[in-house]
Amino acid sequence: MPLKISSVQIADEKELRSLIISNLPSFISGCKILDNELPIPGAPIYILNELHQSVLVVFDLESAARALIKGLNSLDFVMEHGHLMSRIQTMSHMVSVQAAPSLMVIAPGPVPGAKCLQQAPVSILTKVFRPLSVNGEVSIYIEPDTQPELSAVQVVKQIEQADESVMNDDWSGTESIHDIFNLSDEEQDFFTEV
Amino acid sequence: MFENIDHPSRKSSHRLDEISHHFLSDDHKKLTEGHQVPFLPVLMRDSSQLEIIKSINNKLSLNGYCSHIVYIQEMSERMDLEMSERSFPEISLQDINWDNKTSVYNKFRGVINQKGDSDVYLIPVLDIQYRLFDLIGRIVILTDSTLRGISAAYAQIKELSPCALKTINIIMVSDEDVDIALRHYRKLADGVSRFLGKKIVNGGFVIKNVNARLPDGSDFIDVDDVLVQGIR
Repeated sequence: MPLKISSVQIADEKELRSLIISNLPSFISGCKILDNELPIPGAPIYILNELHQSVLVVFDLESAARALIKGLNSLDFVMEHGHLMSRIQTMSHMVSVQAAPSLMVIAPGPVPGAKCLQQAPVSILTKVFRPLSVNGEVSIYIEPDTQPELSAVQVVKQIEQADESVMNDDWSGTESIHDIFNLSDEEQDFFTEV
Repeated sequence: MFENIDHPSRKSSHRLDEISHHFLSDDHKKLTEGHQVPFLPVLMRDSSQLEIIKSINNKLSLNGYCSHIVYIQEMSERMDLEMSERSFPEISLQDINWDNKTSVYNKFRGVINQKGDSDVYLIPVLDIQYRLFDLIGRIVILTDSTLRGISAAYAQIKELSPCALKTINIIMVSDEDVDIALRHYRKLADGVSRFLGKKIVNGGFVIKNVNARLPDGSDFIDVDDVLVQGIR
């Protein structure tokens, strides 16, 4: 049967999460998924790699910079609430308990600052996903983040373009605070300042 | 599943009236009259706020009240609590037949009998539980002292409109100081009053700022006695 491959649009973050979860074992051999969506900022997928090390997998459907910020928010939270992760690790009968999990950022394009992140004290991997239709079935291809070098100005510009709500304290990413809470225009206006 | 608890009845107060006559003897009194029910659900943003509830529990004890934390079994599982951290007996909402008044009564009376009398039993909850809130008649919402935090609290209060709640207490959680937390609280109170025509009651402040810490290193917590006075 001929293989028909074409690019395709992914509907929403939920579908992307599902596709990443189903494809994780194909590019991280021996990985074990501990939690499909940790209830912490960035809502990462929580996995163990083949070395029994914990990894937080974050992603964003539309913005590489936003994916990165989500990941950094997740790491921040974990570092501040290490006891919670210890609980999860204990519950999962992990062999080795790390001080901090590593981070994998899966983005629709090159992640700003990827080269710099490779030197970070915490392991941060960046990947790029390509949504594909294979014989009519939606899937994703996750590939290494090989990107042209960016100047510092370009990096800053990309990060500035990330959704401001994520830059502040938004957890879910693509929607504004008021979209999430379903407030009327009048209510939105009221809660924009103290 | 736990999430599938029935959607709120639009006649919540009527239903409360219907079941209340089952609790009118002295033994049942604490479970019927909303202001006297010693159970107090505390609505959290996420399970990380469980530590705050534990701190509030300790603070109430320091203030001379007898206070316990009662876990809902399904919540404990979602919060990944280890067995050693769980305090039994727990309440399983799945086991409650809300339409059988005797069953509801026995469930909560059983907790009181096993835990012993207390001024308050704090119940950590991760999301809105219409049936439970209807039954108890009051809740506490832990609210982050940020615009996002008060927007979220406002949205929750709006969502709680179908519930027969007599009192909504707000405990502000701030990384800064009491003044800023108070400004956020007032903003929330204004919004709730203006748009929803309801009143909220300040239940106190939890200040998670290193500079505001007490000499023993614990967070500054000023929990208002109204939390307990309202249900004694």
